[in-house]
Amino acid sequence: MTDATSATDCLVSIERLSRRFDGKLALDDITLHVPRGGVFGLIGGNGAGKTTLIRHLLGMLRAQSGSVRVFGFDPVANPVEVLGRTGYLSEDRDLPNWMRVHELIRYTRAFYPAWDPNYAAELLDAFQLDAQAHVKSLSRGQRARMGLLIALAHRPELLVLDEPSSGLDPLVRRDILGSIIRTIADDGRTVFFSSHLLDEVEQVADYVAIIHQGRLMLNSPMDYIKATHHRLTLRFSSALSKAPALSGALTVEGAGQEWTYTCHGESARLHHEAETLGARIVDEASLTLDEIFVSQVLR
Amino acid sequence: MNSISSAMLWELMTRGRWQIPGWFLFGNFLPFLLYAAFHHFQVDFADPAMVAMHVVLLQLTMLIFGLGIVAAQGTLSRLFLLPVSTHRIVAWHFLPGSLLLSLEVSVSLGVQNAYFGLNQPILGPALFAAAAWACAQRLVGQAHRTLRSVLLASVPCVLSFCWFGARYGGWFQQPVHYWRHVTPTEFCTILLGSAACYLLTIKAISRDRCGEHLAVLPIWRAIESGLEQFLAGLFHSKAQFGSATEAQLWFEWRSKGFALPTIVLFVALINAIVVAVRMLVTGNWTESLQDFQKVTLAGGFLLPVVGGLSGLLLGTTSSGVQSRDHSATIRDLNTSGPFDRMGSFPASRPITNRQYATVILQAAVRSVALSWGLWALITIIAAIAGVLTDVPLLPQVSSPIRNWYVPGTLLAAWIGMTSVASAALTGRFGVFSMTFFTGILSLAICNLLLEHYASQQIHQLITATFSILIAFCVTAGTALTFLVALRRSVILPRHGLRCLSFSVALTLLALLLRPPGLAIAAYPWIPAFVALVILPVATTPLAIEWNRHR
Repeated sequence: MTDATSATDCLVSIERLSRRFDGKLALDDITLHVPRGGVFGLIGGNGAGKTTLIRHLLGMLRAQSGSVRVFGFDPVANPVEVLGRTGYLSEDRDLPNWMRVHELIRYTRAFYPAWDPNYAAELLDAFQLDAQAHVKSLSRGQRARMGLLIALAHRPELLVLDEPSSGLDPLVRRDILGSIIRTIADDGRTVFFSSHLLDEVEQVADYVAIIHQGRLMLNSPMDYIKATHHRLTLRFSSALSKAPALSGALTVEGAGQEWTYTCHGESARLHHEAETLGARIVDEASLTLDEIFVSQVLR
Repeated sequence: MNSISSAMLWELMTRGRWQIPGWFLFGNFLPFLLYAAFHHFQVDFADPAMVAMHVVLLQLTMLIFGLGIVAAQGTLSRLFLLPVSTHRIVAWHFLPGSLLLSLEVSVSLGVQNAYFGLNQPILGPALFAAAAWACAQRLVGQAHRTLRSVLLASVPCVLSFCWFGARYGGWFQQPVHYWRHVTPTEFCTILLGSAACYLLTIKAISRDRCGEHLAVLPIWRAIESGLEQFLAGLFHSKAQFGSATEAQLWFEWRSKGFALPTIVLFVALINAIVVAVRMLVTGNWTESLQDFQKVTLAGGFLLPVVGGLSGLLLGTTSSGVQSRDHSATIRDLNTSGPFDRMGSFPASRPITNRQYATVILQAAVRSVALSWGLWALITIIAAIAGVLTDVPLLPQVSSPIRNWYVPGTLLAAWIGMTSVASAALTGRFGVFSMTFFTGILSLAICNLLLEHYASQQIHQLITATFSILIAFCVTAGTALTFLVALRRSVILPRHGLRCLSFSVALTLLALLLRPPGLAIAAYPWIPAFVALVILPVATTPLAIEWNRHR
């Protein structure tokens, strides 16, 4: 497995982080480095530990073992240094219901010296939010947009989005969220977002980490992941009752002479190994992120 | 679980297994404190003033027990999508609630009677509690979370409590006797009142279930709009906040801090209206004014209690959104709620725990000072009115504590608000409140056992020793908390020194103003009380730190 980047020159550095809730292991020995600039997608199923990991990044959870550094700071000991440079959209869209939209903007502005009022106004317009509306009267999608607005308007160095698509309609997801994420990344800033909508991660992410049951299954640049995951269909000279072992195989299915493998590894090495087994490659395809995720989780 | 009714009952008992006993203990806290004080000062429990005390405390405890049951039952609207008829939803909220409230009132009065040798009636209040619950459910059913509906639905509630008060004397008159015998007419009134509430609630819930709300009269719109404009003007702030802490102070004050002064103002207004009505009905100005003065003075005593409730609000930082964690289990059903862990919105504000704590304390100072100022102003008005009509105010404050009463109300309100706020800020309020009330209950039981099984001399000796020990523990515990806070750098050393100087000065002042003949066992409580005044300076940032970074 190739790490997204080395420990040096990274914005977020997590070393051997573990977390238990009432005896249940939520994060298991996670080591993760998020490079400066680009989009980092964290994918995993429900209850995989994505939100728990994000809460550690923001100092809402104290590391029980291991360490977390964001901008080189411990987020628990230095909340201002970390949170002041981070924009955060929470999964639960927690916002003060009693405020009006314009009050929330004015209140949030006070926390960020770099707040850009013109950009906030632009976003308000783009998100079609009524400044006089009460936060409690906003729909789930509008709450998500409101949360995005206050996370973005101070032009954070690090934008942390926890399931940002949840509640957003496809149009907003594609046109607004996608373009915002790319714009931030193109500015040289960093986006760290969690999702279980893999097609959207595939579209925007430069780096991907897969988390499953609290363990990090994969953590690499998107291009590398796509280049090293393949589906190979092998035809053997005689019918086999059991698929022969292929190094790097994640899943295998088939019967008789023809077996289909999803593999992780360099293409040339897999070809060579297939030849050694006496098999002929009848079909070879690259995998979508969705297929990679499923094969990593099922292996 | 073979029926929806039994599932609802199971949910009530599962969710309420800690909440209901917790609120029961909380509801009994003030009556026990007051009766214990009266018992200590050997007040005659046969005094007619005890009837008024019984009526007021009973209504207060009923309200608190009711809150506990409401919290355990959860919102009605979550049941709207279940395949269950509206009348069954209402019935299964009415019946267990009424029974529980009746039971809690009976047990509470029974224990008070047994413990303090009171002779309070049980049957009438218990029956009324059941009806009051029905009335409260009607209020909830009617409310639709709009001001006009709440006001409209409050009318039968107020009327029912006036009817209850009239069982102890005439309508709008001072209670003069206990409600010992429930007449058939009274029984039928309770029964019919409950039935009417039940039917009206079904109607209200049926309407609510399909999203059909009450028609809005133009006058209500005007009132709501006016009130909103008034509040907007009241909390108006600059176009841009100067700093993060200024913004956060606005947040805390606007959303939580103003609650205590509002309650004080509201109670004062109700008191004034009741007294005015009584004056008009009875024509007895002197007695009405005396009642007004008594209630005003007693209000000072209640400030710490109301301050505590407001502190609960001030210390609440949890998200209004239900947790959707993968780890959500049946335990979360019991423990998650408004006093749960800090929400992601406040937790992700880029301010330090020290700054956050300072803001919370500033909001508390403002809230307590304004409320106490309002109370003091009303007391002065009552005193002036008394002087003008030859009804002196000050002799009504018992002489041994007169010097301490006025500053005591201020400091006790501060302690009430900040200590509860600190406990709530930890996000583990349930644990703290249960520990506290269980401790109080254990002490009460020990005291009862001593009273019955030990000689008076030994009882007094043990009580005094224990009291001194607790006072020392409070003082030492405060010192220790400050050391921990300093070590964890959540307070600055200069703040610690200021607190120390302040506590020494306040202790000396309290000693100077001490009542003559103060018992030896009471002396350690002077520094202990002062310690409780400064304790929030250390506990607030520690609580925030504990909750924010779990």
